Amino acid sequence: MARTLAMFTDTSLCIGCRACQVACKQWNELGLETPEWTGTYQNHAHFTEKTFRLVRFIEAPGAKPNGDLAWLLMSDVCKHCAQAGCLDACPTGAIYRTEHGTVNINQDVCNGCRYCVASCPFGVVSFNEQTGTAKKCTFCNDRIHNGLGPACAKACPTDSIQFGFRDDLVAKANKRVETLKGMGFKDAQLYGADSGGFLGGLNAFFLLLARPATYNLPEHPKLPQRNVVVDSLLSIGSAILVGVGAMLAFRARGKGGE
Amino acid sequence: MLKVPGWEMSIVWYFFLGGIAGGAYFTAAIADNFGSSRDRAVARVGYLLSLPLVAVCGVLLIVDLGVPARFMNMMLHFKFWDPMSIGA
Repeated sequence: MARTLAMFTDTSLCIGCRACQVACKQWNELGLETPEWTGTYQNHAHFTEKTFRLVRFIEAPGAKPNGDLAWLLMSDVCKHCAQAGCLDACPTGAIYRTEHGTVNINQDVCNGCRYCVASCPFGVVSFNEQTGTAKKCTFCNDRIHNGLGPACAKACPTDSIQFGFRDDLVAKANKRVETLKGMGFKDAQLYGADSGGFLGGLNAFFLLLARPATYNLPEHPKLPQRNVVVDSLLSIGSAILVGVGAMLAFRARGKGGE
Repeated sequence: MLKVPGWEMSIVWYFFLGGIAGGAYFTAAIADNFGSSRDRAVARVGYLLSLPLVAVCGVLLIVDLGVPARFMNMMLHFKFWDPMSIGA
């Protein structure tokens, strides 16, 4: 495997211009959607089958170093998890990991069962009614295989979205957290940078200025597959219970009838 | 689960009919093996009911796919940790 590629989204630099969102739509030819009124400039409320990059606008009272209300901006994207729920769930093998460590959906294999939609711990994967397949950020698979960075990273005017080798970016991100802490942002933290952390680390990781919950991100995302063994054993157990009950019932009836 | 996968009535019917099929076969097998001659009717109805219902379930699942023509793609892979793969 080649060195893992990653995207680092430094939310402290985001100005909310949504150039990434537009660049993503243009490059991936995602088309128009009816706008949604979310109460802020954010559009849409969640990822859709035509929105792979989504700038979130969050009002967080008291998140500024001086205790004022902070306008938190976060350019959200598929995290390309090292242990991906969608990849584990896909029964057709349409979802695969590229040699760069990113997760992609093969649109020619996907048959639209929507299991990945339910399995994503971040609610990223969406179902497209027109093509009948699941859609999500491709990490601009066509661009990264031709020596270009993802369209969103290219378009970002403040370098809030950075693209590069994962180890380089993690080192850079750690330095940035130290700088921000020095400036008084005491809650500045990385989300998903630690490859020993949740989901084996995220290949699109973030620098947040407040706790992940403020950004509507799960603090400890888990794979849905962790329930499979226990739940299977419980079903087998209840089947045995019902079976024994039925067996006794038929036995008793058989004896009574003879 | 953060996003609704959009599994609607066909999946509801699949679970309903699949449950009946499984239960009928299970009960029939027990009636056949442990019951008396009076339970023959239970066994026969159970056996006859289960196969057509399972066939209906398969059709319901395939129709619910985004691209039903590609349902065979599910048969080509097996993941033991994945309930849908096991089901396929």
